[in-house]
Amino acid sequence: MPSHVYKPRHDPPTWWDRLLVHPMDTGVALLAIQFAALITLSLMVPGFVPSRSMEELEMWIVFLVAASLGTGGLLAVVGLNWRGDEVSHGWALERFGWILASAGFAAYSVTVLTHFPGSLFSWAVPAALSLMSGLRLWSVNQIERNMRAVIPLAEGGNSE
Amino acid sequence: MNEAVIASIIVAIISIAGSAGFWNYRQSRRAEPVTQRSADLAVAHTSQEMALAVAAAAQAYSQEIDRVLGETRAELHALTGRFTALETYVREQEKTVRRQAHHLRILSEAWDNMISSWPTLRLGDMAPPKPHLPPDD
Repeated sequence: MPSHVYKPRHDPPTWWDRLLVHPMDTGVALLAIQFAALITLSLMVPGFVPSRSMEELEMWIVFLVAASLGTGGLLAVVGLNWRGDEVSHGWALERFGWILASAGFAAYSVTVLTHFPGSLFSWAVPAALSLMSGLRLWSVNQIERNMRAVIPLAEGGNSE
Repeated sequence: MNEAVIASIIVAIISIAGSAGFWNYRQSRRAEPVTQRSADLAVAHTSQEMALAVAAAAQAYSQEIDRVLGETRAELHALTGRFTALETYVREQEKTVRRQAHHLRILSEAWDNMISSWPTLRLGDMAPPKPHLPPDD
């Protein structure tokens, strides 16, 4: 496994290092923010229709999905790149972000599925993104749980 | 599926996720924070544990190898002893067989002599003498 995890070569890590450690996670989070931005833009600019299925919905629903995706993506990115001494704060933010992003992607997938069920890729990709966000959410949860289990042992051993 | 149902589904997904996420966030912030130092210690501890486990496994394996090697050497020693004994026995047997073959040759020659000198021998009173069979070569 260590052969598949990028190890930053600088201390503290540069932004590029941070990106290379979590390329897919950062990518999905940024995609969520992009989705939200485009959806919000479509609400403000009359002729702009990035998503035909979202056009069918009422404005406040569209805004809700955009808010969920945008906030989720933003919190996830902030959590992933948390620089403070308190790493658990970063984990907490990331988890909150991923659950919102996952919900946002799922809502978008439902919208496309109900309006264009034949367009398989168009609803399957957001559904997969929702699943991926859920997996990262679970992963961060496990990171914290495992860490909290080992810390008493590590610190107990060192106090001898 | 009409718009109202879709809307309700979307609202349900987002509100459930939003409230669950927010509640979880609050819980995490209330829990004891984990500092960078603790996290680094934990990672080092895990690495150390893994290294120790590998070393212990290697040592156990090495001890097992020593044991098996000792047993194999003992077996080999026993087998070598038996082999030496067998070699000695075979050499003795070979000597015996050679001596007996030699005796048979002497007797066969003697018989041939008897056959060739029968016209002379049958005129005599005494039987021809038994040939000398040397005891050990």
